[in-house]
Amino acid sequence: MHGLAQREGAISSHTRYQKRVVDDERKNLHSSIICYGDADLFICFEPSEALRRGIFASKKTTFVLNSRTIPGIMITANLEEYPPIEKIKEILNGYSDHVYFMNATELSLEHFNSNHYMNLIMLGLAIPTGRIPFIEIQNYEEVIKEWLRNADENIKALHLGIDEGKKIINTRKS
Amino acid sequence: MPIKDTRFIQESGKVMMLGNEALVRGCLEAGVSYISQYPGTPTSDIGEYFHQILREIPDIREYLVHHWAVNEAVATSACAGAAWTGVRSLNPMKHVGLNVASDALSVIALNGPNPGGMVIVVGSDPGSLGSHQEQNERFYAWMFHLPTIEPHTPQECKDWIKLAFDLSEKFDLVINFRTSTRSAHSRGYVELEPLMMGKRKGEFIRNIPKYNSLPPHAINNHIRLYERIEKLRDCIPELGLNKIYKGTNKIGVITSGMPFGYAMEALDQLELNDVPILKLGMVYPLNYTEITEFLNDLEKVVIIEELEPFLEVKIAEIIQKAKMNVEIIGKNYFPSHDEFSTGLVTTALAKIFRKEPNTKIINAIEYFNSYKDLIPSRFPTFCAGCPERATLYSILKATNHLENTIISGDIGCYVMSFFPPQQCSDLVICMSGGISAAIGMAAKTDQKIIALIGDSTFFHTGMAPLAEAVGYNSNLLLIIFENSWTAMTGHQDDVLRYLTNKGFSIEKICSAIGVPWLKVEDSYNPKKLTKSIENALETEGLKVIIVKRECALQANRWRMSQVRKLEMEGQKVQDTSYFIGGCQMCYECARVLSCPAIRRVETDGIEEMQIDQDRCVKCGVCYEVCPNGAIRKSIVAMEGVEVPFREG
Repeated sequence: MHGLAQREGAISSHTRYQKRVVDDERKNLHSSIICYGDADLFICFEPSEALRRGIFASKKTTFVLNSRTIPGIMITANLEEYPPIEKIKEILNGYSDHVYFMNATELSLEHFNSNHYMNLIMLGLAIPTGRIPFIEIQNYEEVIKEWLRNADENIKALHLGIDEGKKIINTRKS
Repeated sequence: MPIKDTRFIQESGKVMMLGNEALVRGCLEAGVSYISQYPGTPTSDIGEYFHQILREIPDIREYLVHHWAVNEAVATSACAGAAWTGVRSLNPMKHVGLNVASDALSVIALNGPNPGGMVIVVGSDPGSLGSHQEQNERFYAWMFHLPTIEPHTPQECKDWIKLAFDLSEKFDLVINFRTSTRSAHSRGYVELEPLMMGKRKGEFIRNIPKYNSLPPHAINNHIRLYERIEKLRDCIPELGLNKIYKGTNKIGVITSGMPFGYAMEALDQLELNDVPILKLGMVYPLNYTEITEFLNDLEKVVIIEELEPFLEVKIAEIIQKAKMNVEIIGKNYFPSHDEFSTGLVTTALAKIFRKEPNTKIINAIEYFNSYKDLIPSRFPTFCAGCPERATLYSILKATNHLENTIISGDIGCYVMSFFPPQQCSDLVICMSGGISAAIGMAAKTDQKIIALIGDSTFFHTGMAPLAEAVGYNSNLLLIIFENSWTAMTGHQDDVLRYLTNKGFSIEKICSAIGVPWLKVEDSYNPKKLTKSIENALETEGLKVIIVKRECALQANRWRMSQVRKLEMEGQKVQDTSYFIGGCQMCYECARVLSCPAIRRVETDGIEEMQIDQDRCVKCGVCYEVCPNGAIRKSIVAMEGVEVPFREG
């Protein structure tokens, strides 16, 4: 979905899929965009973005969030407030208990000396939540190898996200 | 750019594609041989895919030519010219591009594209997601008789663009292929068909009445246009573009394109699976029999369409002519502005069908509304290191924060100038509307006037108003941002890039046009640029400052590639960084320059500014402008190779 991300704008992408197309055409997915309240999983590369797209969330939604904030120029100029992380957590907990934060940018910088791997680390965090059905880890690896530069590093980032994600999710369960 | 992407060249298979990618694939299956366009969201990437193909398969260049045109009117006439040599031409543009192209198109539609075929792709933008306005450009289809096809899925993008070329050739009509931001940029599976090579060469055959729509041929061509469109109208039911979903409900739905998807899911959510639906693949012209047969058993028909009511008017026309007793429900329940969504369509249909509103949607809206005021704004702005941001900084300094000064803005990245905190644009009209409006203002006010324009917009339509400003010696300052790219739409080459190697420059054009006061400056030297703007504003008459500095995104990409190359060779590279110490919180960098790589932090109750090292591109402008010397420069590996930004 359009949003001029390269120019610091807010952007969101919707992914929808069904296992197989059914004969009754009225029962298939037809819109590329999710209906309000119908998202199963939010992968947020920045915390406040979860709120911005909150209209698509409901009690069935799981949230995974990169805790690194990008405040925007109005916050830096002290002309607007960035909501405290605790407040963001509280609002998201109003939807569901499944809210998981991880500092993926910091992990990316620490392990790869670049912030570029944050997105694959975030995808890694999303996988152990169990909210992405029908796709095996090897499927992700195949796609990374086929489409991305530095495939080895990206696969490493994915697994780093999965491993760190498992820790975060298991700590919550215990 | 994908590395092993064979989706455009493999002969068969089922692949995942964006709407625009599928459209390009369809063109390659249809044997298109000439494409001309000016970039504009959501159609810019069409040209990029053609470029990718031409780069990777040089042999194809003999059969396929892609031009980045200087503007949409040029592109449209160029495509007509190619079609008139007997080949298939494609002319993509954004919705407002059609306004620019319309002068040419009004005549080309009369003449007809034969012996070749011509398809325009118009990327509509309901919701104004990447544009300065939203409009329902289907009305051009009515005005110029452009048969209009609206795809919903990537598969339809591919299959229907092929059909569009066939129809264009068969009926001698320019076909309007209307996508939207959503249909152009949604992904889905596409079943491929074999490729067909375009014609290598065509031949223009003289036909004065056809290609000269002047009296008496203009009227004859108009009559001929009606004949052609009526022939097509009769064939519509056989084309397979329109589809009926049968049902027994007395209220039916007519829709097309992306709203069809929202409508289907909304009806299912409301358990209204007996509602008959007519999905129109071709929204202009309409086949009267097809429409009346669908309406025959209905008491009411709901028209679901974004923006101004086009289908509603055209269907009402058919109902009136056929003396049918069917009530039309349309813009009395659906907005005429912004894009639709499944949630919006579900809510409206619940009211129309007297169903309980969907609680999931109501709850989602209510909870969201309870906290939405807390969401910090995130509007697009200039990138870290952007030379245009630095220029706006100098404008603010030179004019004492725009005291008695009007900024006449324009279209390009600098359209974002109006956003806070810089708020450095008082108006924006259209491509080159800024300098044009400034001419009128200069005639009627003594306020200081600064007009902004980028290099690509300058070539698009900016030279003509500059010539006029010279002619009237308008008392204004024109600032031309020369960043060497059509940056806003994703860095397509602009004319400047083709021509700089041939000794060509914007300053030469300005001199040739007769600009009496001309300076060339660098926005990374804000003190000198500020002085220059001050001098210009103290001078009567027309002044032009060309600010030369490459787009920071591209410049940084180039610089990083150089650094990687040198490091691979085992060389040491100087590493410059900027950091803040002893910040006085004067907000010069945050409110006047407002660089997004700077953030406000609080440690132990003490506020200060900090530079995000992973986002800073090391342009050094904040270091230049900090009045307290609190921004420091540090160079690690001083003995290493220095890799500065490239010049010019």
